[in-house]
Amino acid sequence: MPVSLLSPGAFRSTNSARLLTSTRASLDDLQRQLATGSKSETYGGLGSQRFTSLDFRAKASELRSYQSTITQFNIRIGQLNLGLTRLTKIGDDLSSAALSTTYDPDATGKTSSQQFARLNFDEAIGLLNSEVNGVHLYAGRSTDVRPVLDSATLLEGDLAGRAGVRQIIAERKAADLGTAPNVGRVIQGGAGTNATLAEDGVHPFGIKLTAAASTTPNISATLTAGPPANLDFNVVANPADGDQLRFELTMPDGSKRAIQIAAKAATSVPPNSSGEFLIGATPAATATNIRATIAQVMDREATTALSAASAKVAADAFFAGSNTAPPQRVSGPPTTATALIAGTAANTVIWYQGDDQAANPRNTTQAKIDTGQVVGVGAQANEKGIQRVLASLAVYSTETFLGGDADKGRFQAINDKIRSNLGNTLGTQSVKSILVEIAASHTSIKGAEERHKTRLNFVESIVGDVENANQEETAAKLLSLQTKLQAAYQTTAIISRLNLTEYLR
Amino acid sequence: MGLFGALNSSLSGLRVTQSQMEIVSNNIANVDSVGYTRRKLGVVQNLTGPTTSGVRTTGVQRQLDALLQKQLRIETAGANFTDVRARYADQLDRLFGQPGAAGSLDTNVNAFSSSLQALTTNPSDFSARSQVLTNAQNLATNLNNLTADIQLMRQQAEVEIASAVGRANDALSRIAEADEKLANGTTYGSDVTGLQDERDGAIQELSALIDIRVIEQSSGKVSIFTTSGLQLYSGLKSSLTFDERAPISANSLFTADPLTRGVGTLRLNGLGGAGVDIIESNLFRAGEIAAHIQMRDKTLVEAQAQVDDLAASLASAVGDRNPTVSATNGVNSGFDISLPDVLAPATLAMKAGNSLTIDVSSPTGNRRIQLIATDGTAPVPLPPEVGEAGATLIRFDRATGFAGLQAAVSGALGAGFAVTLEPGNTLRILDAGGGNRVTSARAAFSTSGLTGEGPELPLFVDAAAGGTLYRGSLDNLNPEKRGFAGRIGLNAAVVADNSKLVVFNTAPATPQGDNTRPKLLLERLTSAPQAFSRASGIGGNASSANFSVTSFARRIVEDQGANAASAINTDEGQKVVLRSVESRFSEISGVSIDQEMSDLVQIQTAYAANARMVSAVKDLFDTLLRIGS
Repeated sequence: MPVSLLSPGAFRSTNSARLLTSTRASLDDLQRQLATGSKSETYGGLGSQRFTSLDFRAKASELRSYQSTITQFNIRIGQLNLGLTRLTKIGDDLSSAALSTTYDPDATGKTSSQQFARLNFDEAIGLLNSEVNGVHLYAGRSTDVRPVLDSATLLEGDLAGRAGVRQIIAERKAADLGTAPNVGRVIQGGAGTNATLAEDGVHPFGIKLTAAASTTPNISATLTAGPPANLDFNVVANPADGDQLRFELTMPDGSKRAIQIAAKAATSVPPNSSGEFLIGATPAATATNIRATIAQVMDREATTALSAASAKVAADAFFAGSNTAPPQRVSGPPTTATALIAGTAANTVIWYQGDDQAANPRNTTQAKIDTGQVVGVGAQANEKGIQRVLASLAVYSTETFLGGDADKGRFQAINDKIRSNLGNTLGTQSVKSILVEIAASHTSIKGAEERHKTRLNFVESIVGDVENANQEETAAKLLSLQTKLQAAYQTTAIISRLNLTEYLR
Repeated sequence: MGLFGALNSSLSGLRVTQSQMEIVSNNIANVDSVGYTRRKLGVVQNLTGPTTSGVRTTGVQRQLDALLQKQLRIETAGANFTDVRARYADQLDRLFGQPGAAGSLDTNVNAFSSSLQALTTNPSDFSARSQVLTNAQNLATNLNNLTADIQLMRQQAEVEIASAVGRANDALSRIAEADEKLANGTTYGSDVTGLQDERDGAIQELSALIDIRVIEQSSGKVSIFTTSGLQLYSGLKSSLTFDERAPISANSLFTADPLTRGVGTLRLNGLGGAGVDIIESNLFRAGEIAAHIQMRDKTLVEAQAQVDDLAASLASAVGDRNPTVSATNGVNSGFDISLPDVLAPATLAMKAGNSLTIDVSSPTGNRRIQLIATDGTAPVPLPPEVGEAGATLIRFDRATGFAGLQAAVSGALGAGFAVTLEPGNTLRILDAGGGNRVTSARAAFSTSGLTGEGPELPLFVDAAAGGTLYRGSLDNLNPEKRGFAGRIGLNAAVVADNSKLVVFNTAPATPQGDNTRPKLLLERLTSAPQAFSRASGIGGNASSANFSVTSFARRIVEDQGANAASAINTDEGQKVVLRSVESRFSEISGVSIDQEMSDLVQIQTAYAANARMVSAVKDLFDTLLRIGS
């Protein structure tokens, strides 16, 4: 309201009118406060506490955004928790199935536990592809990408000619086995008094010879470490009954098989059982017997331990693959292969399509839940613990066995491999350890959630104190102002009549 | 002394009471008139020789206290000044919105940072991304609107100055006219109180517009000066001219140079001070005109600078890359600053408007040196308000390249400091020894694209200039920052493809769920301290570099709120002073109906008594005449 110019004679009446209007204006303002509940319409009107209002409003907004982050992450953590718990259970089930000795292959060559494992494999893949609000939980930072291909493609490959895990395993098995009679890529040889074993070249495939010993001075055992390593048993003189020849075979997965063959007198009954050789008439005859027994042993190891180890190595390699580091597979014709080669996206199924660049998968999804407090709840399907479960399931479900006892040894070898693969190994991640890390993040989030609730209450009450008009106080003020204004109106009315003009007649 | 004497006395009494009646009726009639002062008729006995013979009038006198009148003029000027200021400050405060309301600036800033926080949590979520853009757009629009409103208020001030000048000229000519007539009237001894009131009223009106001092001369004429000493009237008519400008934008500023001046200025015509630029010389210090000038050229310009600062810091906080600054190894400590352009390594990364700041401590005190790059046309020397608080500004021409930068830094640091250009276009600064050392160095270089340069993102651009990137260049006639709040908008390339809020590299492609970029944007907005220029007047010189963008936004609202509150308080205080002067003035000069009524009764009685006297004399004469018949 601009300042009006003075008319001295009317000052008293204009001034009292001005006072009345300003009182009326404060009455209106109080009424507005009562109706809207807020003290002022502008920051200027909040007085010196506008600082508090602005800063605490910002704080409240920050706390609320933390809260919404936490709400979202609680859903995510719940999902992760369910998924990982189920994966742990699937791993445990497989482990205990591998303990059973029930050998009941059906017409397709699958035991009942294998069929169960196949179903669990499907479920595990489904779990790894789970999403919340369009965010894939197990894809690291590539949350928009479905991290894992479907289970059929993984196992069998696709029509475009990309190899699945079954083919990768088959190739590796063939490469590790080599051609008969030199199974396990080890050449069986020797003549005269010698029985020898020799690796057929320097390559990652097949059985490696890593130790040799003899309990008798009559037969010398010589291991040339190589590579390629070779082993030579030389029968200098005939051994006594019960003397032993020992050698160690190392499988492609690093597992070792200690082999003992014992000398048996020709008179023993039954002669020449498995793992025994007959003492011949001459050292050369004995050596011939040793060679035959070694051939038997190698055949047995190649179909059982080596086969299981090949499957494990191939499946591990397959599941270690990702777009930036495709899986290693056999290069060239398998039986004579001498090197591994990285598969390409064109010829190999890359099972994991998600992000694999983060040092710590937990940090691929980070939630800022408080000033300076960041927790990671990311996960990747290709974490070591999950890989182990998937590789075991894949190995278990792709193997086929013949009825009768022919493949029982291989079945046992596979079972042993699965158990050792899923067992707790110090220093190796398991699904449980992922769960534990997620749970730790959850605990931090829970703590922050409580904290924010309390702080938001506090902050909002402060903002309220500054910005909100106290109803009782406003009402009381309004009442007293109303009384004042009424009195003023009446007085003004009386005074305006109190004029000499009124009394002069 | 006989009956005739008595008759004469009574007749003179009747005449005087009639004159008194006339005065009283004038007083009553003008009870509400602006500037009307109560009149009183001077009445003295009429002396014939040593004896009283009746009564006579001495003329009409105004009931006036000259000192109070002077005070009244000063306080009127003051009250009008504070009133205008309070109105503008209140409007300005309202521009920033109701506390907590959806459209208020701080709510927009908070919403923007909240949505960024949500994006860091869920970078691949489409709705989280579009929410960030929506909130960024709201913030930009709010800044655009603030600028438009502030400039509208400046335009309003311009119009108001023009209208006030018109009223001032009207008042001046009325003063001149009344003064002229008064001079004549006084000469002939007639009643001039009406003219005096007319003149005083005009002066009063003028005092509402301009702070004036009035000197009354013995001739009855007046001279009028501003309190700063400029003569506005002295018997000769003068007038003010104002060359009103429209439209007014953030770039329309007051300068003494008519070529660059974007707003109108005031000049006086017709007197000694003719041609003086009144605004440049700051000759009006109170009154309505001075208040409008202050709003137009200072308060609102400062408010604009604040929002510009906010807009500029918003753009550069999220869009500027900080080159690697590492401590050197070895005996001499110092810093290595990496300068090459990411996209073209042989090119200097500094663009016009980018700056390099070096803090130096020495036994004699600390210095801050800020190099600002130009394309050669920035003003020499750089205006101090463009720099960081407390910084010595050095102008650096980009055309001189790496070598030129080395020379400029070396020259700015002075003797002792070794400044060398190391392989890989790295600038090495080594301490001079003797306590003279470089304590910190930092730089901000603009990014130019959306990907391939780092996680920074030029999200805010100059939308009015067709989406060019903001760099704060000083090379044009108007610094890029000025009025930027009115032009700020979102980068159209980001709006078209909101995945750019996350993806900052194409080879190898940033995963959609990577929160590196959102996290950086959030951190730059909410916690990284930004350097704010001195133009905004917030935080003083020492501490202004310690605000984050979001808290700077709050400081602006708080500053305007405080300004409004203090302007309104000052205004209320000033009005109380004015009322009290007015009240005292009215007690003396105001017409009181009661007073007039009782005077009327008195006059009536006196008239009746005088008339009775005449009738008594007539009776006596009748008696005398009957004796004779």
